[in-house]
Amino acid sequence: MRGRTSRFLLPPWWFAAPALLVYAVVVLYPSGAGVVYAFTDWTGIGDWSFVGFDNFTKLWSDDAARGSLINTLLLTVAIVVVQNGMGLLLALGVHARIRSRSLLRVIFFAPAVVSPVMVAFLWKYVYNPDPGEGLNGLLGAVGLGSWRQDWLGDPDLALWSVAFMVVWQFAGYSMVIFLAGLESVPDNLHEAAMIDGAGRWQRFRHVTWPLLAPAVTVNVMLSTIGGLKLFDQVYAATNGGPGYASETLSTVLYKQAFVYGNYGYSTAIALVLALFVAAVSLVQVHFLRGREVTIT
Amino acid sequence: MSMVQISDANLLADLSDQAWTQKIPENFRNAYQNKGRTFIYSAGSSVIGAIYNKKVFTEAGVAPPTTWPEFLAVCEKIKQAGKVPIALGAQTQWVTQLITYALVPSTVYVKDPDFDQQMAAGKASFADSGWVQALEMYLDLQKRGYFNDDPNGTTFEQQTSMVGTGKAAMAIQVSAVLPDFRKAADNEDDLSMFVVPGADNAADVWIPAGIVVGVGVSARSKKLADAKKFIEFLGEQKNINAWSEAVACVPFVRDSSSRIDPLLEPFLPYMENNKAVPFMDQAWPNAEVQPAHFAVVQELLGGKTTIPEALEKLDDTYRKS
Repeated sequence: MRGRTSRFLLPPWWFAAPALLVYAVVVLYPSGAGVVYAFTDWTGIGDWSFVGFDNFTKLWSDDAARGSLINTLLLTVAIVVVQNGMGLLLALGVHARIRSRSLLRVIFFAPAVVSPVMVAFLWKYVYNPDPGEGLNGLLGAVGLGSWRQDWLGDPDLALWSVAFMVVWQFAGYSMVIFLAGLESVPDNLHEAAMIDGAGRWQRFRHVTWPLLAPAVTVNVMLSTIGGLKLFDQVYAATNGGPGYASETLSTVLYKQAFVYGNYGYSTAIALVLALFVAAVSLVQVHFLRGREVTIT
Repeated sequence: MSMVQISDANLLADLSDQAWTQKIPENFRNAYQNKGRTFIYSAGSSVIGAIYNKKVFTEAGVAPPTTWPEFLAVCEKIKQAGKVPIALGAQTQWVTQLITYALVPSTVYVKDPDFDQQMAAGKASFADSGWVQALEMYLDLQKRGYFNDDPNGTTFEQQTSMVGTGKAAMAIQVSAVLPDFRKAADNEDDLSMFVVPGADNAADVWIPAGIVVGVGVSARSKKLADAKKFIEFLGEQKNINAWSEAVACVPFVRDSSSRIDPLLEPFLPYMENNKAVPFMDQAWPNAEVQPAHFAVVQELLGGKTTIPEALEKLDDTYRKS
């Protein structure tokens, strides 16, 4: 009988071996080490000792971490709903047979290829509180001067300003995935529905939407994961401020490690975040996959 | 992470055998040394004060004040003249702390020069000290409309440009960033500095002065000897002078060739008469107190917390370790 291990000696594994080795060193080992550090009081330098579940109980009673968890969830919900809603509208728009659609697709997708830090700096200008600059200047110019805000400096607004910035950057990304879904809807189904007397809305609701389900699954999952892990844009635009108003789990875990020197605690937060993201993704896949249909 | 933490972990090379370390003045030793051994080189100390635009002051018909009531009167006149009295870029988090730091020497340390030791011994608290008064003064400036609109949405770069171009009259800042203000200024000779008078009586005004940047050598460096030689080179008087001029700081040891930035002259008498206090965070026991201070100032400016709540938070953070 051939042992299970002997399969690893077959040629296909030889070819994969270098890549697997790199993966083990670069991904598996640090991840494993991270799990170990989550149970220690490591400060990033010097000696450490095991502290059991202390870091996790601390996380439970830490106001800043709890506040950031709420912020992260709010941001994620806002991003998932608005980014995908806008992505879908954009996709439907540029899927239509208009002449400039190729150009529009490029324009809408373009922000997604820019570094998030660059985008944050750009939007810092857009969100400049000066009444003559950026968004406030624009509002003033069109007679909406009373809508001017301190977009990133007002603790009640900062989180939503960051959310909008992320939506602006990635709505085009969702659009591309929806477009791929739209391309896969056969024209003859639309034609059949038209012959049956279905209007535009009915065709969208009963033909396009069910067949878009796989694209919805991918988009919702990607934007959920992106929202839960959100770091760069927040860090560059507000650094979690004003006060703690836009702190997310990722900015808190960054600060715990690299600003406060609590590496053990920080890796505990990272571990909880990773498990949380995995759990949410699994639940989403389970429910969203259930509503996917295939043309037979 | 502080020099004390890094040197306790044996990651910094001991520089104590270098000649310049013998010349570190007594009251600055804590910033350079841990347990009597020197681990960090710094050319000198910076001060926190008001960097102001002389043209705006002249147009408003005001001169640098020497007491807190005078300071408020100066701000009022500048405001009447249609300029922003104090530019504040509190979105850049480290900027939030400077007004508190400028005031606390006069509201806390004049009465309690050993406030840091009392804090460390658990015998004093932020919430029951002159910190309350300093934050009240800070917020009073906001209430009177002496800051630009939306300080929480304004950055350090915008702050420098407001003062440099004369849109605002002054900024309470650390002297180490004078070069940035000069770069942002229409004409760098328009800028000068004065001591922020945090007391009703000029004799009770103290100032913050401290080391803002230092260089150390990794104890595990492969080029340990070369790196130490470089620090020794930096410790020569002419290099201390050159470094100090470049970052507008007061050299920790001076000779006849030391040229102190003329803008710092108003601060020298305070440093010579022991009326200067190191930057507050240098005596704080963990790395979380300073960011907590940034955050509570932003919350205070945004109306999201009160002074007692803010100081309680600082006390809690201080007691964490």
